[in-house]
Amino acid sequence: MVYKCTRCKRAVEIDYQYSGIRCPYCGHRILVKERPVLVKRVKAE
Amino acid sequence: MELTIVNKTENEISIKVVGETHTLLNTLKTALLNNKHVEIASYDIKHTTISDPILFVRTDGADPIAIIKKAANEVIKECDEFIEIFTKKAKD
Amino acid sequence: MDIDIIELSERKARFVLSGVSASFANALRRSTLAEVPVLAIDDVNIYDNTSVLFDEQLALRLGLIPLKANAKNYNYPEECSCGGLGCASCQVSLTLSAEGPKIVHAGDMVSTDPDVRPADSSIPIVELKEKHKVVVEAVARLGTGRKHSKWQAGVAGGYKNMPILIIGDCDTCGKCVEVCPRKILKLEGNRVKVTEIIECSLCKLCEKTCDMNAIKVSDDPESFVMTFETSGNITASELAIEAAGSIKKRAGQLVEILETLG
Repeated sequence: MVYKCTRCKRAVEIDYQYSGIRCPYCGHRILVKERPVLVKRVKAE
Repeated sequence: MELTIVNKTENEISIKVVGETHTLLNTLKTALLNNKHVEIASYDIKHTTISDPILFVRTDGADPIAIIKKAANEVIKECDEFIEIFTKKAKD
Repeated sequence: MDIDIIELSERKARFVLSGVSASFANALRRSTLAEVPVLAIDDVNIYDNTSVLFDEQLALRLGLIPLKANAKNYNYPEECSCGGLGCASCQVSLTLSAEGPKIVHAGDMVSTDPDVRPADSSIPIVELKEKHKVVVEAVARLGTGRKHSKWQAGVAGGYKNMPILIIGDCDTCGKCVEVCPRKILKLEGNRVKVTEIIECSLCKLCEKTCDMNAIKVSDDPESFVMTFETSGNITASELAIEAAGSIKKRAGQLVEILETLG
């Protein structure tokens, strides 16, 4: 799952070995989940 | 539409009309009650949203299936008449 | 049976239906609401949605847009020869792609079938701000109002018994003229006249106010003032005819099955 760092705006993979969330490039601790690039089918009701 | 006969005797019948609602059953009931051979004509929908209506007809001895058929034909005739008159009047 | 059309426009019909039972009038009303098939968006494939609305919310809003189409050209998905998989004779696809800032309207949808289009092109779907984007493909299918209100062809359908107002010996006090909420009574010389009897709501206020008991309000049990409105899917006259056709079809099916029972 790809996340995005809110400071350096780079795509980030989460390192599950590390007990916490952190951007490996800039060390920022806030990451957001990006919308996956797949077609989502929703019922219109 | 599907029909299941719940109970049938010489002059009585109760049939479950699967997939129908008041729309057809109530019109049919009125048509049945206009027939002088019909003693009782009624229907019951046990639960408003999940049950199918059960139509009950008791006649004075005439074949209930033939009587329901006749009533349904009367409903068809009434609809035909409505369509014909409405189409004519809508054009004017 | 007799029909007297009072008003018939693209989306509204009002007529007096006389010489029928109350059950037929009610069946007709129920049929317009729940049994007439029309097209509506059923599935939405969302390629991109960075608007403020959730995907589900967007899909619901798309579903509720009335689509104008000739429903006779389409089959129900469950009755189609393709077996419900989806083909050109049971579904239409409409695409919508927009980038902000703008308000996305129903008219921005592009249909694969030129005959299928939103009934009103000015219905707002979502407001997009800077960098917001919506790319969706909506699949419209045939259905009836019984399954979901988005397939409801008739909206605001109803009827009332034809009012009858009889004015007897009257001292022209004018109290009834004042009290009538529909303003259908008029004082003319030494008589009270009824101007628009169809507008009467049968509230009987005039009857209660009259000191001389000169007014009698009643209704005709076999005559109905029917009003239908459509959401724009089909015309009002088509709706009335289709509704009666649907009852006829059902009664016909019943006869057919009864034939096999003997």
